[in-house]
Amino acid sequence: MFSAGPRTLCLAFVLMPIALSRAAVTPEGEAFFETEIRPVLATRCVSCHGPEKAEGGLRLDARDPIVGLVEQGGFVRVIRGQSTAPAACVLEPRLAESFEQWIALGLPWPGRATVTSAEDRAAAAKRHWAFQPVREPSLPPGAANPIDAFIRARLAESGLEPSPEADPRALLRRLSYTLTGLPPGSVTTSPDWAAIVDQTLASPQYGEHWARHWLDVARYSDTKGYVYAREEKNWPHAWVYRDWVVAALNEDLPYDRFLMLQLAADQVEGKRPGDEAAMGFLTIGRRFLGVKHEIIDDRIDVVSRGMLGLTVGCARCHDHKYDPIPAADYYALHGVFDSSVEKLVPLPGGDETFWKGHAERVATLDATLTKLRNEAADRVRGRLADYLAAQTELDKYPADGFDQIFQKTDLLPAFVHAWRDYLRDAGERNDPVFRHWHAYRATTPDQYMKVAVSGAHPRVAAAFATPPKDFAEVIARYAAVLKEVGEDPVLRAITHGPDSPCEVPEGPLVNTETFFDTESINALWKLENGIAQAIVGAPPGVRAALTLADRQRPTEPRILLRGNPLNLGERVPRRLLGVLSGEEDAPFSVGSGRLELAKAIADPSNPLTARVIVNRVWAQHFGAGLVATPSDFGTRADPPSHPELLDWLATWFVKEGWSLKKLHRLILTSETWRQSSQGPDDAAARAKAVAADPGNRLLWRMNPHRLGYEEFRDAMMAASGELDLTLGGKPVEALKPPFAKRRALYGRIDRQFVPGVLRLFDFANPDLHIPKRNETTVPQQALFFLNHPLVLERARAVAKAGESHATDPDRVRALFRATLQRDPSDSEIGEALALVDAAKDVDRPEAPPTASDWSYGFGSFDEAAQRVAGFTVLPHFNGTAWQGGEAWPDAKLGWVQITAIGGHPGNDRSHAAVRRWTAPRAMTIAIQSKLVHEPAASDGIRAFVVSSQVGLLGSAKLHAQSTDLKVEAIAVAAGETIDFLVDIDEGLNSDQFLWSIAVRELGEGDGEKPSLAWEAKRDFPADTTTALTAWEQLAQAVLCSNEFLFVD
Amino acid sequence: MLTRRSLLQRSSLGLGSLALGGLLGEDGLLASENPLLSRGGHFPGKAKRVIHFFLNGGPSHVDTFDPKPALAKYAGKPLANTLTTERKTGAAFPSPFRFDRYGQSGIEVSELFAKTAQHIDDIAVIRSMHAQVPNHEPSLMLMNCGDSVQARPSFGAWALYGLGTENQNLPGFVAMCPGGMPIKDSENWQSAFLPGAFQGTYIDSKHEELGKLIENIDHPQIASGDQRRQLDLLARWNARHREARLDERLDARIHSYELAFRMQHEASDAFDLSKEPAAIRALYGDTVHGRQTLIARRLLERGVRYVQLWHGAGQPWDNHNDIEKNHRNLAADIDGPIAALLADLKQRGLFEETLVLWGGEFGRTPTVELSGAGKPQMGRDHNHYGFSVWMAGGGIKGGTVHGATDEFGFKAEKDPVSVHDLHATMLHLLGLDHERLTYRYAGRDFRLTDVHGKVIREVVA
Repeated sequence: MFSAGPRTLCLAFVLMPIALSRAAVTPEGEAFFETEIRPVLATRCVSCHGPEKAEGGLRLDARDPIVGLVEQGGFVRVIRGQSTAPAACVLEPRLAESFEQWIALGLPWPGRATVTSAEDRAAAAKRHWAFQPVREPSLPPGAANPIDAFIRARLAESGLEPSPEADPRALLRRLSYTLTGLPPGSVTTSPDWAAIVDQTLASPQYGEHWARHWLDVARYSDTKGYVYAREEKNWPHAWVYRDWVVAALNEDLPYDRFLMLQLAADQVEGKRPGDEAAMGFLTIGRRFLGVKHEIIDDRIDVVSRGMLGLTVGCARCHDHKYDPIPAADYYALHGVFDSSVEKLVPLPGGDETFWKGHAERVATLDATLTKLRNEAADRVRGRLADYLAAQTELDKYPADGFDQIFQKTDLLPAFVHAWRDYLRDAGERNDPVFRHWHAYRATTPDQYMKVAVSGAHPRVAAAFATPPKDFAEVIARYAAVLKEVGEDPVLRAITHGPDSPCEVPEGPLVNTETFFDTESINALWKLENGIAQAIVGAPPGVRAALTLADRQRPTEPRILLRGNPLNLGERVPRRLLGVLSGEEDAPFSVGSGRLELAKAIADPSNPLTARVIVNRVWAQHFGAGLVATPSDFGTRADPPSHPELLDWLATWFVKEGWSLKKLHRLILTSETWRQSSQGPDDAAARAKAVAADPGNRLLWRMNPHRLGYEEFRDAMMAASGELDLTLGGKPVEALKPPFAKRRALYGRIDRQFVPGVLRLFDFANPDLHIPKRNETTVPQQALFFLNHPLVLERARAVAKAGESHATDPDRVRALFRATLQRDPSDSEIGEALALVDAAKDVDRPEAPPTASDWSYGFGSFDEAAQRVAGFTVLPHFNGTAWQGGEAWPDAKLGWVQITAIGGHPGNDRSHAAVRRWTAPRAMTIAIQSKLVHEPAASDGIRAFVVSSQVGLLGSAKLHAQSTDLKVEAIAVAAGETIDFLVDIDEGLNSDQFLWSIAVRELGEGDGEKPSLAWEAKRDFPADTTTALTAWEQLAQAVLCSNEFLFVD
Repeated sequence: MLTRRSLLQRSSLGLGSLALGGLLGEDGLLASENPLLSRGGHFPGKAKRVIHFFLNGGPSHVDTFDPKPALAKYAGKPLANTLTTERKTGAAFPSPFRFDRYGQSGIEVSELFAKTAQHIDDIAVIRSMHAQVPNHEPSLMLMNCGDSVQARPSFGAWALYGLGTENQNLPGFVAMCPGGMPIKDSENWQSAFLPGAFQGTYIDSKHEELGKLIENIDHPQIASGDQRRQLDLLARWNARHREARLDERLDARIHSYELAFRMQHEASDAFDLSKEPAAIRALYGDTVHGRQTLIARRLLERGVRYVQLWHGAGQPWDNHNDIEKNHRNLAADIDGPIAALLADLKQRGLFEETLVLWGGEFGRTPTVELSGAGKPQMGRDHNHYGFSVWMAGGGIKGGTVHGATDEFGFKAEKDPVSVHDLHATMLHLLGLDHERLTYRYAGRDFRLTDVHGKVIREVVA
């Protein structure tokens, strides 16, 4: 899309191509081209302007056409963004400068090579800035804080100036939110800014807030996501990992150590009790229905993007298209994780009796597992001929992920594939036992007789003394040999050895379940779940970690072509990514290699690790990273806005002992961070900056911040003084009433049911590593602030907190201080009080007089007495329904609930939903009602209309249908009750119902009193509990305000 | 912040299509705004919106839209090409349902969908669909999100990403399922790495009360002037707060409160079926599915981009046993409402621009399912090798049959159509090129169709 308009085409005939004729290329010129120009051409230009696609008829893969463009003068205009060419053709100023220098040098271009070949691209990619060692650049002069020096220098180059310091209140609020995620505790300020920063960093809330940033990277969830019903869905260890991260950040654990423990706490030296919890980083991913390659892929992704800023996952199916990451690298890491299996480790603390029980549960599982493994292996050994025959029709045995239900008598695809792999490996090493097998497989049926094999194992050679007549006979002879292995060590290893394809491989159930029949799998999961569920349900002192441990025999990875596990490619060694290791680096040699991987990642010489974390921290403080894509430092990412600053920070960070707190302090004490978000005071300077750098990449002002979900939830709790600052522990319910007062960090995250509110506010999707949350603005967010019960509850609480103030203006002041950390202006007080007055004046709808004749409770229908027994009023009204308590179902009273138009019976027949009408005086009434039960699931409901005097008036049994229940005329005494009762019939399942009820007094009424009429819906209590009072409405308005939600 | 700029950077929709929508800010900058605003696609599409009847659990194609007389011939006999599925199956199991020819096209449809079949000349049946594995979970993901295993955005989320939605007062992508969720829950309408605003809004359509139908729509004081006064005060304070600040998101949020205020009323209206004439309500039927389908029509005509109607919680169409009774009951729930919707869309002139899709996550075996003990269950196992879906309206060539399964209906044989092909075709009808609708995530430009998919020209009018 490098467009050459008619204007530039004309110019081509005018200018003379003299200055740019080809001269000898100097070594300097060549180096310049190779490091500065070729990578840009290869990654940015030739995909559109190369041999495959020559947009606008232009190619930029060779020197001559570029010379032509340069001569026209169009080239620089385009890359400088001074033409109508598409945005993709515009280069960052730094790159454009390089091109100008290159042109000034006479466009040195070594040889006749073009930049399109794959090798070129790979070579160019290897020279990509992020793969080069971090260099400590020299500091520009003129500022005390090095950050300011770099930022100022870059601003000055662009003729821009920084903004003045933000006002003290804005600064405090900014500091408190960026470090702790909470509003500042007090509005006082101190002249010693560094001391305030240190104080805030020392608060334990710092660790909580920054843990959440890391949990986004770590795709944190308290659950496994969708699992088949046989597997427990809660992770027993997720919250323990979360608490470990909080503690590690609070104690400022050096970042290299922080990473090492998360990758290999099982192996690193000097670990402390409980450090195993760190490995949750690897093990809290989605379960992917137990499909091994997906679980491994998830781990490779979280490590490579999370710690290295590299998109290694792209190389699962083919060599990375843009970065120098071949598929071999992906499978080298695949081998590391395939050689590591999950292991549940009890952590210190907790009740001894619990752990004793735990040990017993584990022993039972182990014993059962051993027994079932042996049985499974025996079954395979008993059917060797069948498993060998299956090798001739492999297409009948689909890969992992194609789930079938198996009896014990079935051949299991997992074993068929184990034999396939074993036989293939035997063929590759020309194994003496299977020499005949492979010789015959390689030939055609009519050639069988002529196959000559030498050097076979003697027992096999004997079996093949005469030529077999077809392959079926080959199978039969091998089956016979392997059936009677006797004491022959070689043969015995094949059927009974640790690598035998007859044996279930080592590892936990999630990795081995395909080697069992369905009944055995269910039995094993039941035991495994018993262990997990006991931990999930145990008191918080009981903590466990889910770690990885190396297999005794690491697997030798192979490339899976196109990522397909049935399509095996070459073997690759387990090793570090090629782009990070020197050519001479040996493959990993210790166990799985995970510890070596961890060391290589945490190595000060790793060009990515420090740059990536420094950039992540920067991005959280400034709203954008120096590298805009915090988890992608590859060739497709935009280069850093301030490369020297990034390198300076990375160098400094490592030198200072990988201390995150020191890094925070350096950033937060810089003038750059402390500048106003509103731009330079001078209007002209501001306008110039807006025009030159609208995205604020150069940081001529601070970026304002919109509070994220956790921040505004915590702030709403804090505004009423109710935020519970207890640290750590099991997850709580954050978005269902009763709303926990804990910090949002502790809200339970179920990746299978991420509440709509969280998704709406751009919460990090717990299925995917999220480098940077979106910040969208959609009307559904406004609906949340207007109507969600949490916000309404908060509005009530905030208003209540200010009740004690004597005067109304004081109350407004208290409200502003609690929510916005400032005093209101006089006009704001006036406006606030105007709202309060207006709201007070509104006529609230009054309940109709007939409303008081109804009551709402539960009880049962006594068959013998034909009466309602045990009627008890339901204790809680939530504004739309009567029920057992704030939460529904209630812990004690269960599902029983009555609404204006229907309800739900309780969990058994003695908790039927009962809507009771009481006659205010003696009269004759008629009853009309329509009852509907809709769900097709379940067995339906039973309904009864019962008078306290005469007993049963009508009844119905309904399942996915509706009925009319009527009473034509009945005389009732004063105080007599008519109950409308629904119970669950036989089973509790989808029993909700709709029941519209009208009771009408017959005749003319009682003398001066007119006849009365009742309607269940109309007479139901108005929503007084959720309706907001005048002050509550005001509090809600403040919570909805942009000032509350944005940080300057 | 997800500004138009960042959308542009991540998308390959290109400046042109967005600029066509007249969305450029006055100052030439790309102002922050609602990512759901309606915009044109890559080219003018015939369909403006989609309604998807999702028969979760897997409807049997050989009992609905893919007649197989050979099964009667071989009834009770084992079939040579019996393929491996989740469970064991036995002999050929002829359909217990009668097939008749309908319309001028004479396409055969079983008695289960006799009412729908009255519209067969507007319908294109694809009889050669295939998926990847015979299990619900991965197949649901494939049908909805284009990938069996990994977390990927659903079709509806991609449609919103590509086109936005026409009515800002309603969610742009609605998934209704009466009585609970299908298996895999909200993964079926996830936005994955796309912004959360693009995910489907779930509605439990068994309810009739508005407050239970849509989250956060109901407020105790909507009727009074309270909320309006609150919003007026808020607007005044927000405007004052905005004055000195350089942040376009503040405008977007100010605006969003007004939108939300209107949304409360518009949504109430959209879901209020009492506003429909009695004759229309009778046409759809006063049942859960009738109401759900009628609500869907009201949403579609108000500009909702994508509506998915699930049959019910769990996997109702998963009839491993007694398929005759179970399929008959299930089809009876929806045949009438589907036929009503097709007729109603036509009489309102909405049919031509509404794409209707009918299908499940896979089909069922032509052979009878066996119990563990080998006893026939008179039901059918899952079959991903071959199954049927149909589409109508929105640029579809009616009265068409595309592709075929083998003689018995086990495997797609003639012109096999992958789920990616189906998605490519649907996007095409919406005016989106499935190869150009991309989003940059984790260093890759992702597509709904990954590296696959081709538009099935034969079913496009």
